[in-house]
Amino acid sequence: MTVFRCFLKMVKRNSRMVILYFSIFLTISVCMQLATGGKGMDGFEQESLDLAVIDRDGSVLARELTEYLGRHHHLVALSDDEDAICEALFYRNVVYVVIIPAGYGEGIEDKIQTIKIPGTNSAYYVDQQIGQFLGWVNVLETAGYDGQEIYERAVEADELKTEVGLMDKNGHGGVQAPYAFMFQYMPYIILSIICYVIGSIMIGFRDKEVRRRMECSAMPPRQQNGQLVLGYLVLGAGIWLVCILMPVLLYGKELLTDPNMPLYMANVLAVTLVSLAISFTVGTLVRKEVVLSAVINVIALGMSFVCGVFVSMEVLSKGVRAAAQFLPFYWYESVNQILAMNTGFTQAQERGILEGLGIQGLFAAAILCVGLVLDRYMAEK
Amino acid sequence: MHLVRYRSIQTVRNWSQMFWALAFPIILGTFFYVSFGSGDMGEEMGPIPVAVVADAGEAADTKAFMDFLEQMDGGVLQVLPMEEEAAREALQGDEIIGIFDCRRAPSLTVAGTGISQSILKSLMDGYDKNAALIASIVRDHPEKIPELSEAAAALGQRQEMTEDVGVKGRTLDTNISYFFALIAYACLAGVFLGTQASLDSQADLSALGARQSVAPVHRLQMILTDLLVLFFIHFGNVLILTCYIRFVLKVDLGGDVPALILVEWMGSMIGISMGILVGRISRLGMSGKMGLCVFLTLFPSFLAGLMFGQMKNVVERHCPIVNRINPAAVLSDALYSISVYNDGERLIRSVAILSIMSVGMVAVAYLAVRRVSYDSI
Repeated sequence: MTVFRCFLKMVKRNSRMVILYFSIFLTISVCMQLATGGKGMDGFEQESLDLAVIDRDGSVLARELTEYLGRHHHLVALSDDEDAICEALFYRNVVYVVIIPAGYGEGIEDKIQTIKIPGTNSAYYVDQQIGQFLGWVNVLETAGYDGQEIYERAVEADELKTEVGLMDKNGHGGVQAPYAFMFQYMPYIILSIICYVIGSIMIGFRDKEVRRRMECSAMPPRQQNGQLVLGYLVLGAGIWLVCILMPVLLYGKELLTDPNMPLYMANVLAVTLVSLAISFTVGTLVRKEVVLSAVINVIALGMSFVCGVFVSMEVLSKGVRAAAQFLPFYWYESVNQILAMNTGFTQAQERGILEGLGIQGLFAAAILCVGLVLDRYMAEK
Repeated sequence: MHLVRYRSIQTVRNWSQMFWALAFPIILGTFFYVSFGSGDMGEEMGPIPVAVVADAGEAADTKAFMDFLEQMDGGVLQVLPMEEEAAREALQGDEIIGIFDCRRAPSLTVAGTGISQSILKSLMDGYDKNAALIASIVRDHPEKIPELSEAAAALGQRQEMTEDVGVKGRTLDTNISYFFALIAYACLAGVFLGTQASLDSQADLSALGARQSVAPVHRLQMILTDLLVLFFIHFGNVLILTCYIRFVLKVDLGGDVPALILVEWMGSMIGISMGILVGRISRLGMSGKMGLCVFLTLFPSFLAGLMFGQMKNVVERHCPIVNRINPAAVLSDALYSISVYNDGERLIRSVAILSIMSVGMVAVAYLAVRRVSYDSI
């Protein structure tokens, strides 16, 4: 098994890069976990937004409106400064700013000023709530109530609770499984590592002198290629195993008891096979390590952005999503999305999962065939 | 002039380094543009699809609720009448956001906790609370019914209660932070040019370096020429990228062109200087140094939001010192100050940090190459 042992030695030489990429992956996962907070709950909980209220009026109405909004949302302290407001909105530290102008409490003819991200669902949602509260105050005044009684009746009306049933599809209280993000990001890491390692090794094996020595050796070419293929598969299996172990280490029992765990593993295996095929094809075409790095980053980053690895697929436009269907990562992400939000599947979802896995397998086979054809062509050349 | 000319030709013709310094940021910017579109914030609101399950002969209060839903149809909601089983199947398959069951007292079932689900609950809440309030007022003050009708009709007209005022900033689109991080990445990509130039000037690593070390040109002159040529070439690369983003992809980067040029100039200096320092690390081979260059460009840029737009904000909340020492984050901050809102204070702070970084890097790089001699090559 000379060729296989040589392959493993070359993998060991690239181990620093592998460790670097996995470290980056872990860092990103921990950072995103800190950012999202791993939310989950038992029953439906109305989304509580981060709002800021700037009260320039100081009237009873202004205070009551502020308290009403505070009962439904998280109020963020914000200075009455345009720059601070702009920055808070840009970074989504707040999604809506209410400015109660001076003199508003003296008559409800003036309007409440708002600063928001226009056309978004969160903007509509808060607009509706403000309109509701001010409408109640108006109705109660018209009905002859006055003073503090208006606000007491408004608070009473607000306390009426509507029960909302929650269909908990994935056992995480209606939110995405917390480890789903790690699996979302995984294709970039897998493709980068496998392409880099296998590409470097193939460049080494394709060196003219090395190739001539191998052709002169007593070992038949078929055996040599078989040992190389074994090396690729062992490397792929190792990367796959580490990628599965990392979320298990971070999330432990929560992931292990997820009924979708075998499907997550199958999905990662499918993208690993695709990555192996891509790395073989890239290794066939590329002759220099400097060029290899450039090609890997363009392919990995490009596919990752367009197929919903870094940016959630909902954010991508319809045209991009349509074009992304011609790339293997898209099918990985579509399966991952279904697994993240559901445990029991409808027929359509089952079909979607099988389609996604199957199409990734087909991509792997197709890319491998292209690689083999190119390999034959380059050898003859 | 001879030195300037040939260093320029040598740098520009080094395709592999110019790829990282010029072509790769342009390719990445194109991917961003394709992914996010132009000015598409990806948060826009469409009608929320909901199923309504109802019997043929509904009671008066449920009919009132269904009339209320019909008013929303085509605007906030997309109302789809369904049987219960089909509705649950559609909710399970994410075809609808919620189910309004109007067969008895109106009820709502959802399968998530996002904004759309909260809007549905809010609509239902609003209807129930308004109805309860009006009923209690009518009970207490039946004589006020005529005046109440107009006020009650106004309960649903939220648009008249609020007035949207803008901010002085030009955009609230968070996708633009990706382009800021990209320009920051492009500035740091000068590390490739600096590393190659550093390798070329070392007599023990390249024949060119050996010839330069015995040439009758003062070392100081050679070093300064190299630095200046590299700065200008890489600054040109960054300007090309900026023009591509601004005029081809049509992403607005702000109107303060002098400030933009100043920030990009300092960023280019930082990138080139870092490259010269990397080239002087003797323990790493060529591929190791190139790997280090990739790491020194991608990782700081990732922390500045190149791959995840909110990353800089996450770092700011949990470890703000990193954003002060990460050159990509400081560059991104400076660009944000120019583009998103025209405020001097934040820009001045960022420019001050960039100045210290760039001057410091150039000084260290100069000291690293200044007094190098060889006993034997």
